[in-house]
Amino acid sequence: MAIHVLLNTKGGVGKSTLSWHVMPALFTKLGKSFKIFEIDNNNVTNVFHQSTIIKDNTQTVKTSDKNIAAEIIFQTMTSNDELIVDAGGGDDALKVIEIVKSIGEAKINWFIPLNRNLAQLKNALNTYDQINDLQNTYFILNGYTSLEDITDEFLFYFGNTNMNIEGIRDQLKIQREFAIPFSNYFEIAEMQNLTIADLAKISQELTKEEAKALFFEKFKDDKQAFFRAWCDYKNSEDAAQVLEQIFTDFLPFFDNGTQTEPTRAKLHKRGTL
Amino acid sequence: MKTLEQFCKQNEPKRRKSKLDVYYEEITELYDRGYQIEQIQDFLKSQKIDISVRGIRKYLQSRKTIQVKTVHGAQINNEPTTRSSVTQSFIDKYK
Repeated sequence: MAIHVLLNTKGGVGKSTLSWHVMPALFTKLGKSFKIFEIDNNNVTNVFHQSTIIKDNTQTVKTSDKNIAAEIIFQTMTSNDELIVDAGGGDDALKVIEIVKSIGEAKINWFIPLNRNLAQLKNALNTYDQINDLQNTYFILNGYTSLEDITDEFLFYFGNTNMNIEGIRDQLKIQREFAIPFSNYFEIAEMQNLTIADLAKISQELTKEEAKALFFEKFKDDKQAFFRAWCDYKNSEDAAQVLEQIFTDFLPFFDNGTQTEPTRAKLHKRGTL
Repeated sequence: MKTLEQFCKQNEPKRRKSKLDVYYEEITELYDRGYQIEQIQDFLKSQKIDISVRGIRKYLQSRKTIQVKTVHGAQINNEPTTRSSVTQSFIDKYK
């Protein structure tokens, strides 16, 4: 087991998407149990009331709560659960670094999600400095639209010699990163109080033929209703595709710690690295 | 069974074979391990098989479809243990 901390002093960069959608999907896929700690003074993210992946394995605490460290230490010592820590932005993030570092018992992975704009990059760098644990810190490039163009999309991360921009990847000598595609399916799932993995599960457990038969039986005289039902099913298929893309990048690392991320492989192919 | 064997001896199967059939195991193995269709295409290229991403996707779908039809036909499989409550709610919504 390990503690996986998702943090960035800036809000709205994808910490919760990672903590509540991506990480649970990964651990479920790997057959590992997990627990989510949301350490945030201002927000309560858990809207996943219909989820079968996130059930009673979550806990929301305030950074002012003196028992957080004790609770996390207790968890690391008494269970094999992977611990996901969703840290709030601003001072919450800094406080969480302090708390998790004080634990010192378990393997810690720090994940810093960032979007593509420069202002956010400064926050990410600040967070990186505060963590000060180079070997176990990973940036997550959140919201790419094309893996082929990811170096252009995250220009300030990768840099560009033709434009005379040095990216932080080179500056900090970062060896690995992860990437999350832009997708509406995180929110489409949330609207149904599900995680993206729950949404994807529908098309994995109900085949296309079964769905067609089901919709045809109910809506054979109503083409509009048939179409809407089919779109519902298609959302699940598309969510599964998004997850598949994410898994290809993340799974080898979480499964056995290897670094064969396709993101890097693709970049190598282009001769960028 | 004897009749079946006799029939097979006397008749060649006429269903068109896919050029991917030779790599069926490798393709499904890569797919199950989480490789993207584009990566499977790269693998096939290395084996000198030139096929589009759409072609591979269709091939995988057709294989899965055949299995599904053999086992369940186009009926809903009602085994309760195989589905999560999310999928079951989805089915109930459209029943």
